[in-house]
Amino acid sequence: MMRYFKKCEEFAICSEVGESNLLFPETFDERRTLYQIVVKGEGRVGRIFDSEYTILDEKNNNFVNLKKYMGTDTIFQSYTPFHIYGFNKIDNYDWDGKLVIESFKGDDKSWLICFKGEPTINGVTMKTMDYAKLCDKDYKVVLNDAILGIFTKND
Amino acid sequence: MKVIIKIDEYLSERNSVVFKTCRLNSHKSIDEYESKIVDCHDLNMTDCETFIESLINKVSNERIASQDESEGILDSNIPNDITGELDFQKLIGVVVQGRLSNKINRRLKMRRIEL
Repeated sequence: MMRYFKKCEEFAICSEVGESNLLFPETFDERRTLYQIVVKGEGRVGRIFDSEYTILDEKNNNFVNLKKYMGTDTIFQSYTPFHIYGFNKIDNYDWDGKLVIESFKGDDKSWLICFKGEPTINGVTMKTMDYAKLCDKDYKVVLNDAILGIFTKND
Repeated sequence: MKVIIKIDEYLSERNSVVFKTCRLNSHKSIDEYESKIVDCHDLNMTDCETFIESLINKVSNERIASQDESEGILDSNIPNDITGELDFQKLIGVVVQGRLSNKINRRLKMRRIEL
């Protein structure tokens, strides 16, 4: 498995790319992923030795809130070849994230990240792994089937 | 561990580079270290940053493991900041700094834009 990492201004993004039937553990102090974004493949993640788990699926569950696993030992298992991203906090602030599916009004506590595709925002075409800090204004979105996430820092 | 690397020559016919490397804090000039040659076929040649990172991770660790990191930096070892599209002419003869990273964790390339 290949693992990538980038610390941005107020958050960090990780990415994992690998084959099927792969197991990837993370200890409680490593795990800082708030949201998992699946751009390819299928797998599951859960607490180690726990029967409960969360399905990650590019088709039906590709933007997943995983805050419940924060501070616990977890393991990821891939069912197919996969490519996933993680939105990670770098301080003690909490974040709310969601997929962008239509035009929206922004605010200065939010960041927009393109995980796949080339959406057009206010006439600007974003490429994969482009990101932008938002401000208090309207954003006109032409999604073009892209995977676009918006993340808002909570006070 | 911070390391520097200096490419003396790019051998285009065999896609290899002749290089010298040492710790950033070495008290010897990088020019006093022995030159080595390495094939580029398995290096990331997307751009300058990824090329330098993959080159350093391939060649530098064992070669400079025994050097003393507490030494200062000679003027001739002060690195330059080279970024952007890979152009060997920009790299030849220039000292650049890289950081050895965990081979499992690689740099995710992202770009901040304004909307």
